[in-house]
Amino acid sequence: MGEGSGRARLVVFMGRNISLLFLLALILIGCAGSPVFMTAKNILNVLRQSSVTGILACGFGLVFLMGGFDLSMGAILSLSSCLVIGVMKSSGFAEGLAIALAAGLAIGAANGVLINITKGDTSETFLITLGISLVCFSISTTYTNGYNLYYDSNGLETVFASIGQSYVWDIPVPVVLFVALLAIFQVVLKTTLLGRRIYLVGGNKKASFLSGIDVAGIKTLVFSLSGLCAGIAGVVMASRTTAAGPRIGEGYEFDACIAVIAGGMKIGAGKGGMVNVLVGTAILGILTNIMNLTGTDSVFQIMIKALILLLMVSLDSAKLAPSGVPAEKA
Amino acid sequence: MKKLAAAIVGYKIIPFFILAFTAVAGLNPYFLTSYNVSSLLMQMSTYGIAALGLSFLLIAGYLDIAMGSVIAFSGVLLGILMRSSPFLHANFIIPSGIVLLVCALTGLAISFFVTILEVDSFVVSLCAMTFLRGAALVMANRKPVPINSDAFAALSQQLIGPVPIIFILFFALVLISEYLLSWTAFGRNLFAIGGNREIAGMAGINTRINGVLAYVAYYVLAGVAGLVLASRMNSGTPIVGTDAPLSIIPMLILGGTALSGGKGGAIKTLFGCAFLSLAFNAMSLFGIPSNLQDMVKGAIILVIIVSGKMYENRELKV
Repeated sequence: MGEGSGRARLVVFMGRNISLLFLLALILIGCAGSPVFMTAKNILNVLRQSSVTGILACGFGLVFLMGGFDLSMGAILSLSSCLVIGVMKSSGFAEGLAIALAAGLAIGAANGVLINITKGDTSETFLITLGISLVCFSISTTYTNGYNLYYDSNGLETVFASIGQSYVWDIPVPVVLFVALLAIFQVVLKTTLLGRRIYLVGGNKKASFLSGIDVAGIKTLVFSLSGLCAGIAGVVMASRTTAAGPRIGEGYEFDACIAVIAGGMKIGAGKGGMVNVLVGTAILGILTNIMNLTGTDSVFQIMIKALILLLMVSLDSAKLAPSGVPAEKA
Repeated sequence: MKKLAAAIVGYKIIPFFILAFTAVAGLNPYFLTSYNVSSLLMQMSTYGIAALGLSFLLIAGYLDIAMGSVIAFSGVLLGILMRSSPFLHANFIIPSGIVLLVCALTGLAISFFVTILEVDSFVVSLCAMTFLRGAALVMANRKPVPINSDAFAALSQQLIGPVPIIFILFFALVLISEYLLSWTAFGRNLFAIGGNREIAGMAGINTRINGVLAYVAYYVLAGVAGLVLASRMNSGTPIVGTDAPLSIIPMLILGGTALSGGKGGAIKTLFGCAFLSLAFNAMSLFGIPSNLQDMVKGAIILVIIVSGKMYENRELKV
């Protein structure tokens, strides 16, 4: 692409970095539209609000790189939030945390194992994770009897409260967790053999299998990690709101999905990484913030998000069309 | 002889259904009472009609989970139209027609993204699902829109013997769909597109127009399902149908429609739908508590999806 006129190169550059341009546009709109937007308080607010979605998006991004969707993340989030508060009330914080995270990991692993049994592609990951989310939801409903669980944050467990509510040098702990996860996943993806294999499995499952990669193992691992992320997000959410319920995470998997796609990742393309997750989470966070500042109704917010996701995926497939590479169906 | 063998393999759901039917009927004396039979037929008709629509899409190789939102959307739209003027309230056929027209146009709009822009059908349906659910909630102001029309509600209450009229409608739609899928060029084209889109295109089949038609059929049938549900509840409720995707897709898979496209049929869908409805009905009859029912439902659905795909992919290595 090095040759060609400046204008053509600009078009290519814009096509490749459409997410960044979109983010920039949103920031400009925010600055122009509201005087509070650029205040430190509001920025911290955006960061804190998007950290749960961000943590989910880290896991979703990994699965997406590997050519799948994880629609069970919202249900796992609910389950882990119920477990952490429920078990903590009866046994203690350490047990609650351990069980919540273990549940996330185990359900993620179940996703992976089932998908391996079917030897399926993207559409099986949709359906199986959707089915798992139903099972997960009924487990949390059975566990809580359908009620919300509350936790008195003035009580004994200051460690638990601090996960969602305290600060490290003025930065909220959920944000620190999100950035730490991003950094770890980025290092794993870019510098380790495991990371390289995740890209390969996403790029071409059959070729990776034929060159001796344990495709099934990688899939199980990636789905487990994604479940673990959902578990962490559940604990953070429970700690931040001191409440948990079987429906608390509803719709969060959709947000994570938007974040990942808005960040410019493309399914099965073997490209992209945690930088895209960061950009996408920022887009979603700022968009939500602008809509909140302008007092947009919550249902309208969801509808607007759906339209933006549709716009993003359309642009993405239109971007590929002129170069003569049709979007191939796996 | 070969044809007969192929038919038996293709329609293996039917013997399973008969087996399950006799088992439940034998074990529970309440099952064959006319009340239970008509409520079972009624229950399966709503999602059955939507499942019928989805058959068109799955056969053409597209996947869609927006039907639950379309069901809610069409019910709410009908409620609002009926409320808007006494004339429309008296002649429910006209607003129903308008609702189905809107559904057809929505399907047309959605199919643009899938067939022309070639965006992944599932991702588009995720957007459509969220958007239409939001639209239904906003239009209805987040509470059910009462319809209060005795004539409209009577549609779903009238029985011929133990058979509800709605089931007869469902059955008629099954026959029409089966005719379209098995005996017309349109149906044959859909099977070809679902089997291999590129080759179908090379063979001179217009994959786009056929895809668009499949989408319109799907959205219209989901709209009909919404109208049926609205008639049963005598109101347009914006929160119905959230469990639709996970109830309907297993019906199709059970019937023998492949997720990868190119296989299936309306009668197969009918039996898949009957089988699953029978299983869920049996769970209620045998007194399984509702929390547990959800879990069992989820487990059954997973088993169906996983085993269906496992069988389909049994020769693949990975």
